[in-house]
Amino acid sequence: MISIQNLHANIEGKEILRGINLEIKAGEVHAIMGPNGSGKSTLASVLAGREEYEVTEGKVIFNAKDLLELSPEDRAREGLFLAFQYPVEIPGVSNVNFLKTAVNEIRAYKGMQPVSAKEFLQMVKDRSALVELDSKLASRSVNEGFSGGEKKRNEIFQMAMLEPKFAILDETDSGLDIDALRIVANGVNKLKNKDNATLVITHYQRLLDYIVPDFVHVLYKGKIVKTGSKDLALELEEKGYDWIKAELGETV
Amino acid sequence: METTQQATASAFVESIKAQFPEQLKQSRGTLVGNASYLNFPTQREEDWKYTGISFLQKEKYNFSRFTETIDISAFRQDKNAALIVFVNGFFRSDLSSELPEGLQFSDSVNHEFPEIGERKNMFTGISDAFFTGGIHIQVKKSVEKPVEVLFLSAGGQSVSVVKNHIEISKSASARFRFLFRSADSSSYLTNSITTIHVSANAQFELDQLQFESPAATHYNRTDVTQHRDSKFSINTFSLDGKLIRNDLNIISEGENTETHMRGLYMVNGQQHVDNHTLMDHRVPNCYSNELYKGVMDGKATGVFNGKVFVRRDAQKINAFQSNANVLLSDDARINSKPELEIYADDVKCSHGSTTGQMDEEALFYLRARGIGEESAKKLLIRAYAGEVLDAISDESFRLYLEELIDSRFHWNNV
Repeated sequence: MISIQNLHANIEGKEILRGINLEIKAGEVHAIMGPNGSGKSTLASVLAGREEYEVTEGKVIFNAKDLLELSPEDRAREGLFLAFQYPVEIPGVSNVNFLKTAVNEIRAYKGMQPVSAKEFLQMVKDRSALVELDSKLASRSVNEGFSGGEKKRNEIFQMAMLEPKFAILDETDSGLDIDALRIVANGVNKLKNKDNATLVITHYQRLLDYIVPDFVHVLYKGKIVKTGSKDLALELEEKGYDWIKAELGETV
Repeated sequence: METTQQATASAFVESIKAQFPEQLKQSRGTLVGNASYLNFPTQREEDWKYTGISFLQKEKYNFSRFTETIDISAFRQDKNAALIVFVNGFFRSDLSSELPEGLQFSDSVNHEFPEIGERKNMFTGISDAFFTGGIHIQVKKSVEKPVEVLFLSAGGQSVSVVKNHIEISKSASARFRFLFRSADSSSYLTNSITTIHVSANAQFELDQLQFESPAATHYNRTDVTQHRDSKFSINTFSLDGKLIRNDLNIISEGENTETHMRGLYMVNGQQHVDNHTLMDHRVPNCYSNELYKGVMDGKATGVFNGKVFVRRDAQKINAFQSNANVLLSDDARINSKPELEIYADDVKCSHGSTTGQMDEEALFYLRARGIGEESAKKLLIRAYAGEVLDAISDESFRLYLEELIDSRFHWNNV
């Protein structure tokens, strides 16, 4: 599905990613954990196509295409989805209008006809129910005045509408209480199938009780320093990141 | 220096005077001769500091009754509205429709007007002396149908000098739309002066669309007097033209009036748009709200100068003013100057001015959902303009404006 090879990236001249290698296959769920400043969100941003980051080395193959050559919109149209850590408020653009434009531009890219009004409304109804998002929120301005939990649920609602092949959840658990966390995780689990893949970026193990990963990777100083099963997440929770640092021979 | 200035001023006005139809001269009496003393505005004057019009001195404009056949269907918006048409400033009864009951209309060329006294300038002087037509309307009772007035320029190098007068009788209500359009992309001058009286308990909405040729110069002056318990709204959309200058002066003369002033200007290339507004609260217990928004691209420049004046005994005034601008390029510029002058002590007034760029975070968010850069920018611009568009009471006109706004910019060059 996606192959990240020796990925290096800078922001404002400072190297954040220092050679990331990661293979994710269809049907898999991967988690990336790591302390603050390890480069987790940078990885998500680089994959989604944020222009502030400069890729200095390496490549990313997504659906047999060179992902880094594509514009952010073409990455999304190819089936990449980023659930933002901080979803953006866009006053004056209604959620529904925004999603309809997105769905239709993705369909046009694939040579498909625009979605009919009736079909679209049914999609909105079904998929907002998936994350228990009040359908009234769907007609409001994008994220405007939404609570933290509503914003994160709105991200997963968008994911449900756009049906990506590869979704990156960037700290989707941050700022969520336990109920909201369960709702969001249930939504993600329901969207999971053998043809798509998910990359969960998180600081805490908590989310991984609900979205169970096949692989857990530890990112530290811009590199993946350890890979294991879901048990690795539990171990990290118990021992903290200092354990990794110690293992790497760093003084804590 | 003064003499040279005087000489050039006259040269511009003299060239217009020389073209002015002979048969109209007599009815204007001394105004025609007085026009020779009009000063050409320079940027040394506070009122024209950021708006340079010296290029006009090289232009030669003609009064031309355009007699060729014209299909006006492309320029009007609402087929169900009553329609009054002027071409190059001359009334065209053949293109105008029947007017609804309750309106008393005649071509203003048949009327005499008092000279514009307050804040007169070269353009008001030109219109005093050389207007060739306009609407002279009394709204005697409420009219449901919107009234569309199309001011069309055609043929190139024309000067349209129009003078309009609208009077809304006591307790009557009406909605007018002024459409300033061009049949071609030629250079010309529109000089439009409108005086409006909103009588006690009357309601009036005026929507203005300034979608001129990209080579056109547009001067627009609107003077409004509101009487007690009246409501007046004006929405001005400046979407195309080489240079657009709007002078809006509103006087609240009776208590308990409500006033809404909104504007949206979108300019690109080397275009320039200037909005000067004055809200004069002379009496107590009134409300006014002003919102002007601008989108500037390319090397476009703009001016917003909004003044709210609250007189000494005008207590309990609620007056709000806001100007917001988005600059889409590094070379676009806006000079924004909101002013409050308050001489009463029990009032609630606020003003504010903001200038920013397109929200890059929002743009990335939309693109990350598969929306192309151009559509994403259109969505954001439309949302930004939405606050002004929401004021349009007529849904079909609103949709029409949205289409024009979408078509207005070529985003590829951003």
